[in-house]
Amino acid sequence: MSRWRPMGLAAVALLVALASPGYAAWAAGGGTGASGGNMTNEDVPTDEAGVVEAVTAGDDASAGGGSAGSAGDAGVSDAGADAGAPDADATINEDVPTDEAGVVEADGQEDADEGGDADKTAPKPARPALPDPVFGEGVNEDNLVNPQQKPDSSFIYDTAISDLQDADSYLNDQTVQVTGEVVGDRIRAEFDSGYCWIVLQGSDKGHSEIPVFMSLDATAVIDTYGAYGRKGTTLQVRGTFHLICPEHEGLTDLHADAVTFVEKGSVTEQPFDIGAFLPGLMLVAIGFIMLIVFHQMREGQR
Amino acid sequence: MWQRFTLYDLRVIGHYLGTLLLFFAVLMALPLATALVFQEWEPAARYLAAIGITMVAGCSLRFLRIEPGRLDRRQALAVTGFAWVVLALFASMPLYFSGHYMTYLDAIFDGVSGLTTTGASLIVDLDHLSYADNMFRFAMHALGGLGLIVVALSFGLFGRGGGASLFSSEGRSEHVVPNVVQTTQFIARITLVIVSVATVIITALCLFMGMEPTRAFLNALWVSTSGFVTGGFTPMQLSIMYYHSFPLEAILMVLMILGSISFVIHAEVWKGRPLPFFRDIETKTMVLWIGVMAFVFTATLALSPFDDMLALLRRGLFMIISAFTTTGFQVVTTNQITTAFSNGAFLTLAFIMAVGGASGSTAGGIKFSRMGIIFKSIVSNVKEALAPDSARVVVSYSHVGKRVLTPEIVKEAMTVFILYVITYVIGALAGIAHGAEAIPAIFESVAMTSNSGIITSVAGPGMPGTLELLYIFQMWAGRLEFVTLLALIVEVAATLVPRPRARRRS
Repeated sequence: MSRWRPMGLAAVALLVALASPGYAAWAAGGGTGASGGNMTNEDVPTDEAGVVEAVTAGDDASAGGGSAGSAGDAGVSDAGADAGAPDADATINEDVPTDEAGVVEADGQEDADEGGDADKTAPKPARPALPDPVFGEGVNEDNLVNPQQKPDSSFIYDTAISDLQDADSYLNDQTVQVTGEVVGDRIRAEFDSGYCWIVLQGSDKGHSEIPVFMSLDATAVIDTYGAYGRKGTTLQVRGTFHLICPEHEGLTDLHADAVTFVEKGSVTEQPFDIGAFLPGLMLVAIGFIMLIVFHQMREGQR
Repeated sequence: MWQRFTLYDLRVIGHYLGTLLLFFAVLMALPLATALVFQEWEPAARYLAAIGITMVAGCSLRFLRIEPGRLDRRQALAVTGFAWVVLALFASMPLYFSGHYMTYLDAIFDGVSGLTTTGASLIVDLDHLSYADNMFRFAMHALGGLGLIVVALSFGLFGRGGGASLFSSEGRSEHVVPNVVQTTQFIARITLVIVSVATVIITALCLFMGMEPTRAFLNALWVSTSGFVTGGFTPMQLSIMYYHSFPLEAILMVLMILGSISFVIHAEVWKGRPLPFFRDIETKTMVLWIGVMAFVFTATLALSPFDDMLALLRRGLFMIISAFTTTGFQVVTTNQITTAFSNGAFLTLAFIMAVGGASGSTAGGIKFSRMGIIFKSIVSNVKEALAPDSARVVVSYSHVGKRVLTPEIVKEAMTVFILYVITYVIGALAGIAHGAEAIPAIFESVAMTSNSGIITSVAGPGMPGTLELLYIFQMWAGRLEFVTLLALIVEVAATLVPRPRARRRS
């Protein structure tokens, strides 16, 4: 009897999947892909260079394609700062492994993420019901959190850049994840060809900054470097923080492992407004008149 | 009986301050031109308005005395002393309205810091600052580094009146050539040549690093200027760490050292006479002092997490040079100084900054010459103690020729030394009273008074106003080397206090 139980569960799961509205809509559309009607990366609109056109996160998810580079909403590329040159070119759609939400994965992350390149036609295999350590019953199969996960202090999620700027030895050599605006320039690393430095600025009151060491290829996701009148691309960088970097003669830096595109940069155009110059022009004119009067008075005294 | 300023004195002083303000308005045309070239319209309008206000104020002051006559020494002291603060007040206008300062006092702080070449900055979000504002910051450095009066004299702004009095009131008593105007022109010329050469080399380096040509040139120009005049402002928030380039750091180290050498020695070398440089008391003191302090600094750092040899060489050496030249460039973060450096290294840097560079240069601090003279005076005392009663002990030293150590020279050196030490202590106590840790408070106080500008955890945007005012005073006092400032304070105080007879009548 117990031999048939998994098969029965699989059958139920298949029925549930077929009855779901998403599947029905997809089936009604008939699919657009060449093979079996499934949406593939080739179907995602790209420009001549193969760069994915800007789409919303929702569109990405429904199309199942990846959006990356400067046009994507959530492109992640392997920065490869510690493990050599990155394999993924974030701007070329065909080469980039993506998940359902269009997130470009760092090398070696496919296995970790759920449903990354899974064939949409195949029904999801039923998950074994894990015993709940508290209530002793099977947990909801949609709950992906492993309740038996042990605490791990080697990874500090979403650290503020200001915390890194004021870090003590506790944060040294820790894997951290920071989000900030790219400012300044891309500076080529002096002894490591293929690598460069960028500066990430936090959104805190003091505008804290941290230099980030990353591969040149990973900077492809940066569309704007922040400066006067320019808001730089916002990136999320995961990497190893060094209070005194042994590779860079004691510099405080962050070696990027994965770089995620968060928000496009922007340029603020300053319109020329003659009205703004009028007070200055008037004051300068008064100043010149006073100068002339002064010189005439001085000549008069002589 | 203290001398008082008469109404005539005040009118003459006002006239010359007005002349300096007009010159400052001309300097503001540089950021205006930069803004127009790069189509930064908001800064352009801001600088035009600032030029207008400065011109009107300058002309109004000039009307106080149409024919000012020749400046006497007291008036020259007052003009020089007030000039640094008055100009900083006008500089703070365009700076504050850039929107990069938390308070107006922060903008004044940066104005004083820029002009006195301290290099400490309370600016917020420097990396989004316009080219025009940056150009203004470095123009202030250039003007202050060479000396407001030196630059004004080299342009002949004061005519024939009181050139020598003004020149010496700015802490410069040595003439490269007998004529003051020619001396100032020589100083300006040598600066132009060195900064131009450095700009070309650093531009090429920045281009190689991948910077855009415009940014490469401007960054090179600014750090070259700041390095040679031992200022310390940088166009990027991460200071020199931003460039990640050892060749650039090496060039800046050479620039800083050149800037901390007396212009008189520069002139001797330019004339093909390098020997005076090696015989000079300042050079000998520098070698001895920096050698000892570098050893102590390295020893203390080696016991800290900063124990890597390459890190010590690259970061440690740069920081020592930046500290003794009182430039204030950084290749370690403020956080590293306070957390990764040992307390000993932290304090050693403060000692290095306290002594500073050579007199007659752009560097601040007590100066090598005074330290050398005090050391020679100790030697002289020991010799006198050991010599027979009938013997007359004569101690000489070399500083652009052989000179005999006289009690007057020793007194001057000791007075300035003591005044520096007192100011360092007062600043440190004030920092501690504001809740700072002792060592950062000492460090910050020394950095301000010696015009070094390496700031750690005490000075920052929106800092307590009382401490900020004290730091402004320290920068001002350090740049004027106290004597001018003290004379000015005494004269102003004596002028404000009513005469005893007048009190009796009332």
